[in-house]
Order: sequence, then C-alpha cells, then structure tokens
Amino acid sequence: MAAASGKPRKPKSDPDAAWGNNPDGRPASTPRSTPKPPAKKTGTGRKRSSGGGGSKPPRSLGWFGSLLMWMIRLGILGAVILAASLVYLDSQMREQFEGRKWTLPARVYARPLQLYPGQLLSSEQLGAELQWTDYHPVGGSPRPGTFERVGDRWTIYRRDFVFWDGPEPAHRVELTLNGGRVDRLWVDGADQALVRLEPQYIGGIFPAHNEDRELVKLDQVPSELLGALVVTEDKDFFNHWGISLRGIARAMMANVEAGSFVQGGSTLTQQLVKNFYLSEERSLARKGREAMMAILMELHYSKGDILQSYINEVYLGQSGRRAIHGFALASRFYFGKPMSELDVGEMATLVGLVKGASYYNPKKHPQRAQERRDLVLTLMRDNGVITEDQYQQAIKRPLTTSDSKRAGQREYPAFLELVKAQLKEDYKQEDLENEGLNIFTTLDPWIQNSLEAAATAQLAALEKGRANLTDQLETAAVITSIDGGEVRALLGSRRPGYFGFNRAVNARRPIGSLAKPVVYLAALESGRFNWGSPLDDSPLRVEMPGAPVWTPQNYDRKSHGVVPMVDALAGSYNLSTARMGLRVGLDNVVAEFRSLGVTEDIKPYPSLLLGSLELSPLQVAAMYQPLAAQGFRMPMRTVEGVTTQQGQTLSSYAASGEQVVDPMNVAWLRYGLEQVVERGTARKLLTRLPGPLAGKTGTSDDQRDAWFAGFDNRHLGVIWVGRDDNQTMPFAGAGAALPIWMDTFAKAGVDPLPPQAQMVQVVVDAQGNQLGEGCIGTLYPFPPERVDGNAQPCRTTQDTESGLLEWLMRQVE
Amino acid sequence: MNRLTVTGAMLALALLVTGCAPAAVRTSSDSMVTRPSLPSPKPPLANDSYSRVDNTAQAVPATVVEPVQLEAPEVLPEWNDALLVSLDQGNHHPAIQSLLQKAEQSRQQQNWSATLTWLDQARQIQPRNADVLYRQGWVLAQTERYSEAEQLLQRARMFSTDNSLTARILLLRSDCLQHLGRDSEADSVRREAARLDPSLLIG
Repeated sequence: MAAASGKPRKPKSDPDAAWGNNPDGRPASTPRSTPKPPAKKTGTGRKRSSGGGGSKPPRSLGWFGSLLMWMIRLGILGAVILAASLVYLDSQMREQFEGRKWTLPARVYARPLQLYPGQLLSSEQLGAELQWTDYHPVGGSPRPGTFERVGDRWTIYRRDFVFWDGPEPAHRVELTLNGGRVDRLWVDGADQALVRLEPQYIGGIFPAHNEDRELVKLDQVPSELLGALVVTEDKDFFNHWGISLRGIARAMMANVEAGSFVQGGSTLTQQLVKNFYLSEERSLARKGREAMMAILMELHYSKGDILQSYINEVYLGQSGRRAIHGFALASRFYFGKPMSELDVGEMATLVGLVKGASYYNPKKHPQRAQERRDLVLTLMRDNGVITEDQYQQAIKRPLTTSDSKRAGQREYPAFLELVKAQLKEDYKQEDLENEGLNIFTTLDPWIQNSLEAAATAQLAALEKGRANLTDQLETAAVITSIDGGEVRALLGSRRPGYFGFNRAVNARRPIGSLAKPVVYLAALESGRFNWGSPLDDSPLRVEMPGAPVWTPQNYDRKSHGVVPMVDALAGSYNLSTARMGLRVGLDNVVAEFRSLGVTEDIKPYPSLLLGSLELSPLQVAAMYQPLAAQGFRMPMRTVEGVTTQQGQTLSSYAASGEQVVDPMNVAWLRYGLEQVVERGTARKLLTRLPGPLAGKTGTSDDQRDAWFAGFDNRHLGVIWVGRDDNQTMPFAGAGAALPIWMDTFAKAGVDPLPPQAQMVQVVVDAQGNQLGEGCIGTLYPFPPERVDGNAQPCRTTQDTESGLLEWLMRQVE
Repeated sequence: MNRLTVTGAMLALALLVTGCAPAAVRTSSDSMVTRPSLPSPKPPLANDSYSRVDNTAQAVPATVVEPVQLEAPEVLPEWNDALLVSLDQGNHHPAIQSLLQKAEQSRQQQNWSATLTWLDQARQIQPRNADVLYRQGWVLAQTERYSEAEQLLQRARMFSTDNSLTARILLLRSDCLQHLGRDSEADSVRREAARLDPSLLIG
C-alpha cells in the first residue's frame, strides 16, 4: 500500500496521478479490474432446470415445490428491485458528483491596506493589520505570509492575491515608518510608489446550511497531509473497492470488545458518500445504501477524484453559525495560514479533527487535540509519511492555534447586513450564497477595531457602579469617509459578533439635538441670520390647533436670555433654537432635512426643531455626510468590487453624488459646529484630541437616547447609546456617546479640519448687524457673498483708541 | 456749401423715400446686431475637434456693401479632448501617478469600468485632488453618465486651486450640461472658463 510503504509523492498536475498511481489513483502495483456483478446462481439454476424438460408437462412438486417457486419469484423480484435501486443510486450519485458538488458562499473582504510614502500609519496599526491578515513574524520573512520588524523598518512578504481589479503576485515589501507616516517603500528591492496588502476575510454570505469551504485541487494539498489522512482514516484506501471488509471486521471486534459503538469501519469513500448523500442516521439500511454507493463511486471515479472531494467536503469545525468544511478553510481557521504554510504538526492536528471536530477542537480542548495530533504523527512516522527527524521535531512542538479574536476568525454581522443590502440591487441572493463570489468592501478593520474597543470600554465604564444598568445599555455606531461615503466601521450592538438586531441600520430613535445643525443651516440659508444674530432664549409656549401646547425646555432647565446664535448652537439651547426655527419656518426646515437626504416622513411640528424625528444611526450619518463634505451628498457605500470565484471582475463601484447644499453655506455652518467642540457641549473632545473638529451632541427627551455626531478632516462618526427598552438613562450625549467617538478617533487617528480660507471675518454688533471697518463688535465669519458692502465704516482703530482715551481723561477730570 | 447741403439732404430724402438709402446712412440704433446662436449639441467627445470660432466667423453677412459696426460676437471656448490627452499627464504624488498610469492603460483598452476603479483608488488616497476628480468626471462623461460627471466636476472645481485646471474642469462640465440639455448653464460655465483661462479661446 502506497501510504504505508513509503512517503507518498505529491501529484504534479494531474490529480489522478497522485501518489504515483495509475490515472485512477491506484498504486501501479494494484491494477484495477472491473468488478463482477453479484452472481445469482440460485435463480438461474432453477430456471434452467425447470425450463429444460422439453414438451413434457412439469411434474408436480407438491407444497415444497410451490414454496421454492415462490422463493425464486421473490428472488427475481428482489434482484430486479436491487438492480433498479442500484441504477437509481448510481444516477443520483453521478448527478451530484459530476455536477457542482458544493455551493460556495460569497467571501467578503475588508479594504486592503494601501501603503505609499506619506501615508498616515502607526507601527501599532501596521502590526495589528498584519496579524489580522494572518502574517507571522519570522526573522528574514523568508516566505509569503511572514514579516519582520527591526525598529522602524518592516519587511513583509506579501502573499499573491486576486484583487477586484486584477491578480497581483507575491512581493517582498520593505518600508520604513517615520513620525507616524510611511517614509520609504520598496517592493522586491526597488523604490515603489504604492503597494497594498491583501485584505482580511471578514465573513461570508452563506446559504441556509451555513457551510463554508475553500476549494482546493489535490495537487495543492501537501503530500504529508494526504499521507496523514490515509494512514489515519483508511489505510487500505488504495486497495479497496469502496468498502473494506478488513476495516469492518476490525471495527466490529473493537465494538464487541467495548460493548458499544466505539469505532466505525467506514472507508474514506464511505465517509464521503455519507457526507454527500446520506444522513447521520445509524441503521443497517443506511449502512447498506452507503456501501452500495461507495462501490458505485469507486466504479466511476478515480481514487484521486474521491480523495480531492473528501479533502474539500469533510466537516472540521464550527465558528458561530459558520460550519468549517475542508482542510483548506480549516487551515486558515485554526492556524491562520493557507495549507501550503502548515507544518507537519499542524497537518496532524487537522487530520485528527476528522474523528471528531468538536471533541478534538484544538482551541477548546488543546490537551485532547494534542494527544490526537501525537497519535497521528506516530502513524505518519510508522507508515513512512514523515521521517523520524520530522517526527521528533513535530512531537516536541506545543500545539498552538491562531488568535480567536483576529479578523479571519470572526464575522462582522452588522456590516455584512449592509453589504448584502447594497449587493441586493445588483445580485440575486442565491448567487451570493452559491457562486463563490468575492466581495471587496470598504470596511477599515483598524477603525472598526478602534470603535469596538471604545464602545466596550465606555459602556462598561457607564455601567460601573450602577447595578440597575448592568448589561442594559446598548450602542450603535457608523463611521464613514467624508469624501466618498464609504462605510469604514459599523457597530450594530455592544456585542460586535452578534447576529441579531442591527441597531445601526434598524433602530430608529429620536435624534434630539442632532437635528439642530439642520435648523441652523436653514436659518443661515434664509439670509436673515448670521452667527452673531441675537436669539431669545426665554421660555416658549407654542399653541397649535388640535395639538397639545408645546413648552420646550433647556437641558439645564434655565433660560439664558438673549444670546448670539453661535452660543445657542454651541450650548445646544432649546428655547432659542426653537424660536429661531419657528421664524425660519417649519416648511423650510423640513425642506432642509429633505435636501440632506432624509426620506422619512417628516411632520412639520415645532418639536421637529429639537429632534423629535426618529432616525437610525446610519440615516443620521447619511444626513450629516453633506455637512462634512461641503454640501455634497453621497450614498453610503460598502462595496468596492465583486469578482467571480476565478477573479473575473463583475462589478466595481466608485464614489458618486450630488451637490445638494451650497458649499459656502455648509462652510458657514461648520464654524458653528466647530464652536460646539471649541467651547460648547462637546468641548471635552479637545482635552484629548487636536482641533479644530466639528460635532454636535444630542440627547432625546428624558435622556432616553444619547448621541454624538462629529467629523474631522477624513471621517464622520455617529454614535448612539441607549436602552432597548427605551427607558431613561442618567447620561446625555456628551457623557455617553461622545467618549466613544473620542476614544475611537484617538486610536484610529484624527486629522484636524483645515482652516476655511474662503470665509471673511466681519464685525457684527449685538443686534447681528454687520459693521464696517474699524467698528467695535464681535468678529464672525461670513461667506463673501453675504458680506454687506454697504456697511458704514466706523472711525479707525486709532481714532477709537484716542476717543476712548479722551473719554477716560474726562472721567478722571 | 449751403446749396450743396440742401441738395444732398433732398437727395437723401428722395433715396430714403424710394428705399435706396445706403446702410451707412441709417442711424446706429437701427443696426441689428445679434449674438450668433450656439451650434447644436456637438457630436460625441471622441470625435470632438471642431472649433466654435470658425462657425461664428461665418455669421457675418458677406453681402454688406459697407461694413457696419457690429458688436464683437461672443466667442466661447469649447471642450475638446486635446485638453486631456492622457489620464496620467501632469505631475502628481507618486502613488497617485502610479494609479493614474494604470487608469490610462485601462482607458487605452476602453475598459471604462477598470479605469474608474483605478481613479477611485486614487481618490481614496487624495479625496480632494481636483485632478483626480476631473479625470473621474471625464471617464463618466465618456460613458455618457453626464449627470454624475457634472456633479463630480462641481466638486472638482471646488478643490481646484489652479486657474488653468479649473477652466478645463468648467469646460468639461459645460459639455456635460449641454448633453443634459442645460444650454444656458453650459454657456455661463464656458464664460467662466474663458475668464479664468483666456488661452482656451485661442485656436
């Protein structure tokens, strides 16, 4: 037997030539002959004897004869039924085996990490992204999938990968980091402008059975792994015809000795048949069908075909809802590397899983898994699959698996839901579930990771010491790139890996003061207000026919008198904002919401001005996107491109959008949002982050929802914190949501907003009137077209100063 | 002199009555100076190389006996493909340059989808690079996605700090506007382009 007598040879190109066998996969020394059909001697013998008497009438045989005749008839009938069953089973088996054996779920990837000189990139981020993409630190980075760091110099042996815009070969990438940026970059020793790492796998779009696998051909499987599989599971694989009588006898003896079912006598072929066509039912009938189909399979297909199918089919573990099938995917799942990078011990561990993927799970039961690994290693050595030296090296190594928290080990259900929603416009669900498509998305794992860490820490801090709040708080968040609308991170729950209610997309909650920037934008656009316009913050009572009297209050339950408009926004004053909004007109405010892309039903009630509108965090992000992007509204985008399993591009997507608000007015509004951070309700941000930044806190009635929406020069983030039961919380937006934003941006990197050079500084008096040159008042920014050219200049500053001096002198006298 | 003047006046009156007065005698307020109308929407960009100047030159009637003082016809620049010979022209950040080269290769193969993909990668590296947005707008226009192109070019114009580039962005945008049937806006944008870069009017 090839596997037992020596180390198997790896097949070259023809999988059927595996193990140095004939094209049918058998060793050269065991030529295959056509199996003989089962003989039916009894039936044919009786026929011959009964029908061979010439014209002489048959002699009566009595009751015994009748019984015999009936038995013959039944035998013939049974043979016909058996033949029909065989034909049926044969056709069934061939149909599936020769057609597409498996449905392949779409594989979803994060964005690739682009590397170029000048790029913002910390050592921490690069190290983390390499780890998440299953790179291993090895001195000299000798093979794809390894890296080495010496100070600020990194050498990364990037794997080959088929991106959505084409395949790229493996490269040795070297780079230096300096001051948090990429300083220089070399690829294969030559200066290079741009290179990208392959993206992380972040999940799949699975059919109902949730099977996931990565298909490989036999010649891609290490020969040691094949050898380990055969010597462990089916030593006679290359000699039997689908069933092994020796194996069955061995199993029966073991079971009799144990007094229970402890060992199966199934060959690899039978196991494959069972996995492919039959249930887990333990019955003789099922076993019979399994044996027949195994024989039929061996009749039709080569050993190489069968082995290749087995390698791809076998169940090897579970990751949440995802069933891990095949050695290729199991290799990535347990060890974070492709099969070609496995060492002998890791191969043995995977083969050990065949007996019981859950029982021998190396992540959950490392001791059991190691014992099983060692047994497989021993079999490999004893059967010549590995040498004694290899065995000694492997057996001494501890069993280590990859980190369960790394990206390839988990999924991002909230983000995936959004991906599916976008793809639904162009693809059928069954294609996504079955065709093995590759989906390249916009998810930035570094930002996602930062967001998850910040949310987890912040919710724990909020609940600390408040027993009634323990595990009651929930959160949802969206982070997008402001110039492209790409969704970079999405949190649908405080448990990021949870496949449940996606609050970021589906939870519609009152947005509170996050509505105010829209009201202020409408006011600025109206031409009747500027940031210096005085607003009355005294108590307000609005009566409307058929509706209860509306009496809003400030968060601190106080009135602030007459305040400049910018103070009203910075301090998030409700009374002054409501008065201003009513002057602007509710219809105009509704129109502003519409222009910012809100498609929900918006009732023109006064409470709209203070955020009674209910939106999801994703909808809020879409609404704020034009405010961060100079009035340019872009659809939220999660997908960059889609390729077939073979890498052929099916779709690629690029940013698009439309100018929905005058950029000057948006720039004007940004001043107010910067003041919120500079000296208003979000001033806490600048205790940790460099400004300017723009943002707005929000808290709904009775503190049921805490919000923060803010942006730097690159990203917009919207954070919500609340309770699923809609109960009140002892927090406002600044206390609950803002810290998550702050921690996320502190870790992911913040890029302060650039100055708005197009704005003109104008002196404004206490009534909000623009004053001319030399006048005393407060400076506020204005768009150039809003500057009043007729404003009368006052005396020069020098005159003013001398006038003041004269006045002081007179007072002294 | 007086007699001559009277005679001349009578002759002129007679000629006027008979309708034979030369045009030069008419008062200046009578002169019918009209702005030549814009030509009909131009053919696809790939074949666009004609000049508006030639067309407007023919608007002056050739049969006038004595030249009248016509108001100068408004000559507006027009988008033509010579303004963007290749997607990788110009000086850019090396990473952007590398992506623009790939985009240009895809463009030469008429693979517009791939071209857009490369350009979008460049945009993600420098999201406010007017040069990149301009090229994205151009590709969208090539694929007759004029509305998207026009919007993207508005954004490109916002970030452009170079008059020459801004003028080209405006011309391309005007071309999109014209395809969208927004002719008066297109004219207005062309005027702005001409003001920013008068050299566009030459040739």
